[in-house]
Amino acid sequence: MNFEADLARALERKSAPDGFADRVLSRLEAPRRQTSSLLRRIAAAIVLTAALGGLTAHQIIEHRRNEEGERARRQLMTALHIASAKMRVAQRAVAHD
Amino acid sequence: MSAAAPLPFPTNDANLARAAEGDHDAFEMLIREHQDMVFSIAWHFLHDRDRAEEIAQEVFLQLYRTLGEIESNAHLTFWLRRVTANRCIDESRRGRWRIVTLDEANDVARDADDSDPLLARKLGQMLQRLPAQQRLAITMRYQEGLEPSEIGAVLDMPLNTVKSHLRRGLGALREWLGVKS
Repeated sequence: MNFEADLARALERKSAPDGFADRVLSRLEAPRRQTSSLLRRIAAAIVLTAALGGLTAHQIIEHRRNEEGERARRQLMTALHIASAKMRVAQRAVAHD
Repeated sequence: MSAAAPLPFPTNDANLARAAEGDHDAFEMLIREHQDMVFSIAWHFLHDRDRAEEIAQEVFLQLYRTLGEIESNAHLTFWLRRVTANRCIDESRRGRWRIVTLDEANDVARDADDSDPLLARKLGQMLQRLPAQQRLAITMRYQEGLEPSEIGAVLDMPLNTVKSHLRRGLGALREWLGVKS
């Protein structure tokens, strides 16, 4: 028994598992893919936020327009009521004369 | 399982420089040239194929981040041996490696004889019983064929310490196998 020769045989280099280099290279690519995916998610979130913001602003503007229209209608009705009352006063005055 | 045949175009310093500049093909060539060495050091230390591959992959990922500091192909080989050894030591400190029990080792020793074709495999298994530093010193000596002074440089330990680890480790293996010095 040649102990040292046996030991050298026991410790000879083994082949790395099949596909080893490919797996290392794919792990190098993984952080890039994660970064890319993160950027896509951030971009989607920005677009969604902008769309929701635009919709909300549109609704606020519409709401204000409606309020202004309603206020103008009420003012017109008040003016018509006042004008009508004045007309009635004038008619009564003419009738008395 | 034996070591793969060397690549027809072994890496040189120019290839190393290309890899350092981000050339993935050049880096792949570096991996393919050195993967057996790195995997084998980890495998002989851990005797666990999956974890040896995990360590070997991490070594190459670390290499990718450090390529700019590697000066030559000789430096690369030295660096890979050292970093792999350090990662093996770290792994053993975490206590995750498989421990070969005394009974298992004794079974191996009982079965070992001159005509046993599995003796080399059994020796590899018995190696797992040695302390981490002795195991690494013996691996560097018999797998990589390094001289004690070179082992000292790789493992960052004095020459006399390397010689002591080799002497004690070999002595323990001989004793377990019942081999006379």
